[in-house]
Amino acid sequence: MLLAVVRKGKKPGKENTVTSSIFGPLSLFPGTYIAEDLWRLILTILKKKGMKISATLEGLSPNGVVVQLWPNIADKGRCEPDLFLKFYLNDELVSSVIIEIKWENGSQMIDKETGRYQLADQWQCIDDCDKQLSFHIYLGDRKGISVIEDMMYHIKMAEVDNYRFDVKHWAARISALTWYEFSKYLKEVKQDNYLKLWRDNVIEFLNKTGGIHVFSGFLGAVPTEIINDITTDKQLFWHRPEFKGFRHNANIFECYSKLNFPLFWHKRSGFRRSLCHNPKISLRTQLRLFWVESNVKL
Amino acid sequence: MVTEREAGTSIFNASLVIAKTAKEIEAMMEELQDTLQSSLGEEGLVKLNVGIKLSDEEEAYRNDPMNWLCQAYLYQYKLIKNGRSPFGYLGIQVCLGDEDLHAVGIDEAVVHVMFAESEWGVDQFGLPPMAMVDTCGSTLHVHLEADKLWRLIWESEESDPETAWVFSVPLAGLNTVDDLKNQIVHPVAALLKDTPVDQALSKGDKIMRFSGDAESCRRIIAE
Repeated sequence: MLLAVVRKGKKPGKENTVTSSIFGPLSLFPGTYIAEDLWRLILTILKKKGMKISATLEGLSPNGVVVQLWPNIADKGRCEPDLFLKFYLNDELVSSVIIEIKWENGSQMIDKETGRYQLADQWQCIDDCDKQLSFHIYLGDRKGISVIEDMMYHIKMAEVDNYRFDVKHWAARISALTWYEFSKYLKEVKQDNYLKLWRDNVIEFLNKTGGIHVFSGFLGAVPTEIINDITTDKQLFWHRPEFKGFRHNANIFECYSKLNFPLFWHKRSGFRRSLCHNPKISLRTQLRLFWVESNVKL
Repeated sequence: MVTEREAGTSIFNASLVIAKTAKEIEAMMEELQDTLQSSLGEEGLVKLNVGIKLSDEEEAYRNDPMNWLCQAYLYQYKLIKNGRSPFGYLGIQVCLGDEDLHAVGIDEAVVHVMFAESEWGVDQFGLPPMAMVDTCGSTLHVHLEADKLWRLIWESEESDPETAWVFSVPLAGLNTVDDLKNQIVHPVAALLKDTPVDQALSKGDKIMRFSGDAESCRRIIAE
């Protein structure tokens, strides 16, 4: 939010707020601290998206990174990608990544008046020699792949050549990334150091704001307390302290009982039925019929 | 009789379970689309990267009569191999539960995996499968193959017969990416390649088995 307000004004809009919330903290870290971890994340994304990575880039360990939100990268006029990452090794630029971010329905990629594409304009602003080191990511929903495919098709078919770069080369260096994939790759990439807390918070942020949650199966969909009650032998009337004898003043007269059965062990209908429709299954698996929350006090 | 507290807890928990399940279903569908795309793309069954697209037609779903709960939802995908026109449609219907399922011996949430050449073909399926003759004189035949796959054949005087197939998997049996591959993706790929049904579904050990036909359909539960 901080950078969204600083760069985009008092009312920055949801997309800019999300961009700032997620990537803003990266721009506040010293570049030397996070360069390697951030590069490992980017490398994972690029490889997962099927981009060809040279052996040099693969083995790279950058020791500097500059993270810029909405920088103006045009020589003349304005061209502001949402995020621009520049990786350095001993002060020499070794790779850069432009990331265009769309949240929810943001997919207005073409200026209808001029017929120019936002992504193509961004790529054009990169120096020709730097293009060999650069990558382009469109981070948004599933429509991203179609957006890029349609854009490439129209640019190739256009009668007027608006762009002075090799479109085929660009096509091999641009990829659509969904928020789901971003969250998944974040989770997969091991981050031990400075980025770990950022990563954990971003995953939670995406979960809470966009419902973006990495698939983990349906066994966790049933509330844990129900599972616990099913899979363990907890019963409602089972938590009595074991009977040891009678107390008289400070003295305990021990009196052991050989029996330690639960007091209420009868089958009941009701709540249980909504968990397990088939009574035969419960008999077979010997599930307890009388479970309630484990924190019930008697 | 249940106690008031038991009834209240039951409703409360059911609502929590549905909400969590819905979130997991959405995540599962993201994962499934990616896995289908990469697997079918690599096998040349659909275009690489862009061969599976969520259909932009209207949503297909079934609510309870009071509109409180979405009992079944259909994800429809276009399968594209060449150009921009689909050669078929894949339907993934997530059915959380209804009386019809109960009638065929199913008491758990299921996923129906369907393929048809036309879009309308994938939004018609439910259990028990219905053989019928419609008002235009078209006939729908249904039969079961290898205890697992329902084959649906539409015959009409006006056009060539169209076939579709469906198999079903318990939703709660899909908990990992490997489950998605073994129970859905590999069987779909094999069936699209016209592999014999018993071979195509051999890895899908969780795929539901049935006995009978359209009218006498019952689920077979392995002991």
